[in-house]
Amino acid sequence: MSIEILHQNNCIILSAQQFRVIDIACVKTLFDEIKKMDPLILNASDWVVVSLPRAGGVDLNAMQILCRIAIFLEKKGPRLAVIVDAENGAVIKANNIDRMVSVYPSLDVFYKKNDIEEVENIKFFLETLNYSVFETMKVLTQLTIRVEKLESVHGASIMVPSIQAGATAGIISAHFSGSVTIGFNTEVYRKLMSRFLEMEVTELTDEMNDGGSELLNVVLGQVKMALNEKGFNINQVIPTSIFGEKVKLTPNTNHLSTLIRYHSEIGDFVVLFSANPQQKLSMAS
Amino acid sequence: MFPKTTRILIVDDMSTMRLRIMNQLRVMGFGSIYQASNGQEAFSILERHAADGKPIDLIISDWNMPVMSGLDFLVKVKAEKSFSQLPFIMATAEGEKQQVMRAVVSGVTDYIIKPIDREVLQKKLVQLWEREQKAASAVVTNKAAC
Repeated sequence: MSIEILHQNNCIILSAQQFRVIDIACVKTLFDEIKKMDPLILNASDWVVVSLPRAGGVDLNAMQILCRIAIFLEKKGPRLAVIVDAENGAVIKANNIDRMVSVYPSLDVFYKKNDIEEVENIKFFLETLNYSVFETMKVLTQLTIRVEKLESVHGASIMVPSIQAGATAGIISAHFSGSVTIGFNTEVYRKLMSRFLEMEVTELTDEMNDGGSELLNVVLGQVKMALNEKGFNINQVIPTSIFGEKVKLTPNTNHLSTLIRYHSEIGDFVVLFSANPQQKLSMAS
Repeated sequence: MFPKTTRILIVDDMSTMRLRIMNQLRVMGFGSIYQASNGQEAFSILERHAADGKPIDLIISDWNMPVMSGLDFLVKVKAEKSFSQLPFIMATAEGEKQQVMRAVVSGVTDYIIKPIDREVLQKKLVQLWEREQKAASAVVTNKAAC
């Protein structure tokens, strides 16, 4: 009996089309395959999806093993989903197994309900944003930067260091809506302005307040140029400057938030990206 | 290259960007640099300088600005007979092909996508000056031929 294993969109999909019924033998075989998987790969995945859309009846013992699989996976990271026909789905739900195992009638519905494609699009946006930050800093300030830490969180709060200067801009696209914020402490910002303005800045003046906005404007301009050709249809609001003694950034915990800490020769700074895949630009074209 | 006496107008809603371009132009030797934060303000400066007999010779403008955008400013400049031949460089973060085409169709002389470093700006000014000189000598040759 062969089980097809696919890695797609941060999901591990086990496809076992040959099983006629969802019984102990079937589920144990699948469990054995899951246990054999590299723990690093399991840890890096958001979902393990068991696809049995053509299988006949599901028995109680098989459902109990499904729960054991869910518990096993919980410790590793991914959630468990099963793709079964409507009848089997109803039996699983009637026995309250869907409290531990998510049930879907097809892979398409699974992807749609979990915004899987949109999360992948968000990750692609993030990679492009990161590249754009590198390039913009290199050209405008001759800074050599490196990523010190990258932290992504969904459905929980993220610890963001307070900033004293920077900028924020809202973005809306075909795949998500969100915001990007760049933040510095005063001393790093002053040194940054010296480089940006190509003159020695000993004290910040009002004229220099929108430097963060201009940097963010250029970064997002680069991102738009790269991604709109790929159908992202990004619209961006002109950035707003941020200034204060200790400005605390608190992204919406319902959003997917990513904090990137950069290190440079003049000091560290942060970029915070917060996105909501549920809210997007409705596509007319 | 443009003579050092060239009067240059920088239009950008971000004061740091105006300051950056101004510093870069000063390093290149230009001393007559004016600034505006939007297209409307810029157009007033053009009119004032023309009236004073010290017309602006070159415009470097951003695109996304409040009150009057760079594109609307470009259209207005090209529509005004006394300013229509002014070299107009769009220096902006808007780099998508459609945006560039819109500016070209509206009569922009040249287009620079941000981020801009001093070398790129200098190169653009040299190229623009050479083109202007060629165009001017072509006019003189045609007149002489007639």
